[in-house]
Amino acid sequence: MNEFILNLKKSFDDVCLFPHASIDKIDFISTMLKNDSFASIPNDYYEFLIISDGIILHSLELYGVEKHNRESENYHFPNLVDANDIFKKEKNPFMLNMILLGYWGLFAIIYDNNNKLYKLVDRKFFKTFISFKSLYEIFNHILNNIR
Amino acid sequence: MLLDENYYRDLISKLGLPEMPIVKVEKQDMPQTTLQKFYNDFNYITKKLLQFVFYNNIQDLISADFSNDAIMKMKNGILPENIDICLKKPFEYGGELDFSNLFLIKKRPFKTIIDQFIDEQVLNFNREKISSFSNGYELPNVLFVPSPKGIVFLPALKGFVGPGGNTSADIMTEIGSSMFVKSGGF
Repeated sequence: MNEFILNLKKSFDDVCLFPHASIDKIDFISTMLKNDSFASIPNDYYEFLIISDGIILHSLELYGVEKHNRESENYHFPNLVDANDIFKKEKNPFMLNMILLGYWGLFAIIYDNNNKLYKLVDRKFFKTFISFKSLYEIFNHILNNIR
Repeated sequence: MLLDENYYRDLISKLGLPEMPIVKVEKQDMPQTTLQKFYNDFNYITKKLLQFVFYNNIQDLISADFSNDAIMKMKNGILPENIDICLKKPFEYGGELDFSNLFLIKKRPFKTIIDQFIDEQVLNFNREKISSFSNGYELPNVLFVPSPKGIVFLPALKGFVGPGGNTSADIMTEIGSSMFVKSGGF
């Protein structure tokens, strides 16, 4: 993952990475999400957060365990708990054992722990468009489209 | 439950965007292949749109309070941070993937309000039967969607783009928007 992030920085000088998250905080948020019937944070996403607590790259946003104050743009970048709040309220059955990780253009990015897949689903209706076996695969798909 | 346009006009006002015009759209039968192509091509079209807006609507970008850095990124087809491209009419409701069906908007706080506005309608339609679904929501037959006139959404009171929550910036946006509506809006 370290090498992947280094290459990402080389390819996109405007990528916004965040300070790494602490293991204690990742564990805490992961447990919190699981207790609310979401998936816990998947292992490869966990590794990513240890390097950067989220990412902003053009229309791609992936959330971490901390909220980040984006002072230059005058807003707060949400964390995973905030991003998943809408599903918690609705007790949405098709988000059980899943977790919303972020957005990319018209897509939401979710992890489906039932099938161990990362999925691009449409933002409005949550229909699955394409699935990936790992964070690395979905990252590559998105980055190839951003280039 | 069928709710009329007045309900949704009130809703978008309460959410904080009273100046946003809305229109009713109806679900269309669209081949899955066409839909898939629209979603796949969206990223390419947005790059072209950003460059088009840079060369043709730069005054709107300034009026919408986009930073110089953001505007310069658009010249290269790069979507700047906290700016989003929104569909006026969703593809599933007859929207095409062309510039006339797209607009630029600040993501926070404005695009998140539009997302909330659409989510509310989708959830209203699905609330009774949601437990039977396994792959996303059922599409409502009718949706009310944002329909701003230009290619860049201009908030009623520029310069107050708060981080969300009960901040003074959001209160000012709300006051500004209310003033705008009282004065006749568009």
